[in-house]
Amino acid sequence: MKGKAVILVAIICFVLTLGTIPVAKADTVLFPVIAVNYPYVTTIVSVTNQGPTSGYLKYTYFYKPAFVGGLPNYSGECSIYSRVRPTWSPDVVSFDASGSFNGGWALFNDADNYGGPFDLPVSGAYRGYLLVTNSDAAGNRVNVGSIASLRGEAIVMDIFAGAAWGYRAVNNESREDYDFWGMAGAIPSGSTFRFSFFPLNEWTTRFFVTPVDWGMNLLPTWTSTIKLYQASPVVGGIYGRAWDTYAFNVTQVVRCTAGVNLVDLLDATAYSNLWSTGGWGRIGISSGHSAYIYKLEYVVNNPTYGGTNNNAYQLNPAD
Amino acid sequence: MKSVAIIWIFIVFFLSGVSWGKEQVKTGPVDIILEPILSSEWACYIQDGDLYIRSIDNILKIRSSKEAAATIFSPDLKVIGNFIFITWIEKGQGGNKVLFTASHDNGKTTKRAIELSANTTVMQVRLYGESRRRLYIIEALSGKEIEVYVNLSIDGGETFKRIPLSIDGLEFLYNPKPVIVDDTLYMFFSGVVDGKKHVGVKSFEAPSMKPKEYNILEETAEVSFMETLYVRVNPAAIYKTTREDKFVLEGVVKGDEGWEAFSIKGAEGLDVARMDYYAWEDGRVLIVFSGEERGKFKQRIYAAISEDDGKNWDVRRIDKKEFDNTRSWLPRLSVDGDRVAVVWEDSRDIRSGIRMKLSTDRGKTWMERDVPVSSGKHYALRPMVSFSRGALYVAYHQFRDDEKKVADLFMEKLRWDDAIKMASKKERGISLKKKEALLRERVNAYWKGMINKDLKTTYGIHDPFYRARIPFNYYSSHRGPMVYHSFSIEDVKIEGNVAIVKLKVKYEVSKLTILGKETSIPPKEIVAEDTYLFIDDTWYRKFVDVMSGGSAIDY
Repeated sequence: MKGKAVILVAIICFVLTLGTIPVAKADTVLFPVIAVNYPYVTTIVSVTNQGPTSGYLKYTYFYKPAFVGGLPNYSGECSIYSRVRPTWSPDVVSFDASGSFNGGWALFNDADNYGGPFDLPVSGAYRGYLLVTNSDAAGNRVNVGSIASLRGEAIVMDIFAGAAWGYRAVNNESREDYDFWGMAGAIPSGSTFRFSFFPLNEWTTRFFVTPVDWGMNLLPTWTSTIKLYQASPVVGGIYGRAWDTYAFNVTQVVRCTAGVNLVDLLDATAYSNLWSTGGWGRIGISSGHSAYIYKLEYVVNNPTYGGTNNNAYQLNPAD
Repeated sequence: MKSVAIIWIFIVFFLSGVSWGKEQVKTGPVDIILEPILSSEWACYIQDGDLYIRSIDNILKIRSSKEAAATIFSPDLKVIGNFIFITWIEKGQGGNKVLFTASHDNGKTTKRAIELSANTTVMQVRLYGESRRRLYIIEALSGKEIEVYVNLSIDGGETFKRIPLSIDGLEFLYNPKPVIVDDTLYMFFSGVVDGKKHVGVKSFEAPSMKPKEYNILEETAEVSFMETLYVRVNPAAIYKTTREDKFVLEGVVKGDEGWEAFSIKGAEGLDVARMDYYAWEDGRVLIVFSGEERGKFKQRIYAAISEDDGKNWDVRRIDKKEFDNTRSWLPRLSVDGDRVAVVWEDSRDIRSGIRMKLSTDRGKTWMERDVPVSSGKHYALRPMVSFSRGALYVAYHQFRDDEKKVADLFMEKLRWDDAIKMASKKERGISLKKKEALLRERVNAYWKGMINKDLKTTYGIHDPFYRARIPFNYYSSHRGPMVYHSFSIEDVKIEGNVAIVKLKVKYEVSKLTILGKETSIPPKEIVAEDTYLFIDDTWYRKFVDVMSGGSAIDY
């Protein structure tokens, strides 16, 4: 979609506006969670560009298999895959990162010619994050001097069972580059966030964790170590629903990105006791880098809860 | 006539559930949050909010939640000879109450309930009986708001004296566990002082409860659980914590030179879910526990013996599972002289059941077979075991169907000789060749059904736990958009009752609406991996949700 008629007016307005308020540039957006498992699980990504524009956007995936040897891949390294596609101002493009729909090309009868697909060409269950930035045709990042050229949204969908959840992409509103360190929405190292969870025998609770750094365009060497705590973060552990307390010291190290199962943050004693009740506690980053953390809850085909449901929200460092 | 009478006697004997000398009763539905409590031949449980105790022959309602106008929770039971002691908490308006009652005639009559405390915040009570005369009821609230009281009776529960046990300087207190040796009550605990975690003990003179010693015993990380016992006449504690991020089982015992720490070497690195113990008078200690190494093997059952006050432990795995891809956990043990019975929850048959291991020589050797105790037709969990008057009692919960919503309490009584006979029987099995042929047959039937849209067949091959949740009508009306064209089995790997099947599947999505727009996926071939489970003598395809990885069965 294009609105060429309004481009000139928009540019003039922007130039005038930039002269009157402090400049906050933001033309790299971070999608902290990309989950694909072709053809069942897809992430539909939408990027809006309200300009100014450099004419191209670079889409860089940092990705890894969700499982290695049948086990969740929390600390494994990521690989990089990128594509450069044209953009216009204003423009919106939506695509399926798994490539299931329309082969990964722009969706929904988009009239623009992007010249190719946007997907991450992998087979099987993969997790990753995605950076979208203004670039030239060769994929070199370009400063466009905008306060808000790019924004994004994503929906993670199970097209088989019909469940979905979504989130808004992250913008660093003070810089144009790949720096997402110290962002307000990220959970800082050393802080904790209160959460509750449902019975472990019925619900799956998972934390999607993406550690952030200054240069997110580089392959992540940085990690976040996550851990559960009781009400006071002095003691590692969790609570049940009847004031039953469990103390343990279980950590998981996340590199690049991972979907960490709640049960992998519990010890076997707590798991066996909370199996049919659930409980509450705190999740925090005990060491390493700050991270974006989303808490997801799924229940699959359970008539008690009306079938298959999932829900997700972003953990907020404000508790 | 005589032969007819014999046949009738046989039929009556058989129908009453007495086979292999086994008697079985069930009660329910029970509150599954409360694990079965078994002492001697009596079990304690909550049904419809009311508190009961039962033996094989009798049921006694101890307290009605309606009459109490309160929620009943945290009950405990101790049986000493013909004396039955019961305590519990009632949560109603105006705080919690701790109550106690007793029967002095093996359940024929019960005494009027005594209120031990009112308007309290404690959330757990535990009953300890040194003898039928001297009883201790410990009330505790763990965490930051620390409250620990002991209710002491020296007249068989006729009267109690409630005494606060203060443990100075603690910021947090967890796992308060007493052990009573002669006239001293040792209260072990894990706690935090000045941000440092440790295991400590405070001793009190009984019956005055005058404080004696206070010792910080070991600096630790978080302590998951603690069990207390006495070795000969010395108080001891065994607890689970971590050292350099590795799980460990450690302990402390009071020796001639003071408190001595020990570590159970063979348990290092094992995430132990639970342990149980017994100490003979000569100082021999037997512990049983279940443990796992994440990513390497699931929970399995171990026994450990020490004869030198915990300095050395002979740790041995005692379950006889062929593969470690299923869970065997939460063991409990009971001892009668040299006889030892260990029961646990076991998922080797996918649908969890209760298994039992026996030893006739105090755990030196174990009978070969892991005896199945529950029927196998229903999901059974959380077993307890006890000896009484030469017989073996096992109590456990069992779900009524594979939906796993409603459970009953099952109680079984076995004669020891019959239990030994069961342990000597051979397990019925099926050859791997037959199992693989059956698997291929089922995989072919499933995918042919998917291609031909024969949903009755495909539904029937889904695991019974999925089918228990999802009726056929719901299943058939919630099919995904995929149209399957062909498949081929690439590989099968069978480990016990779990099989991984690799397939190539060709499919397409001819029409799909996303966010209000129609789209499609052209024909494509993908490699898929399915899990099949061997349940009730055949293979079922395990339903796995692709987004969450969740399924209707955990094993």
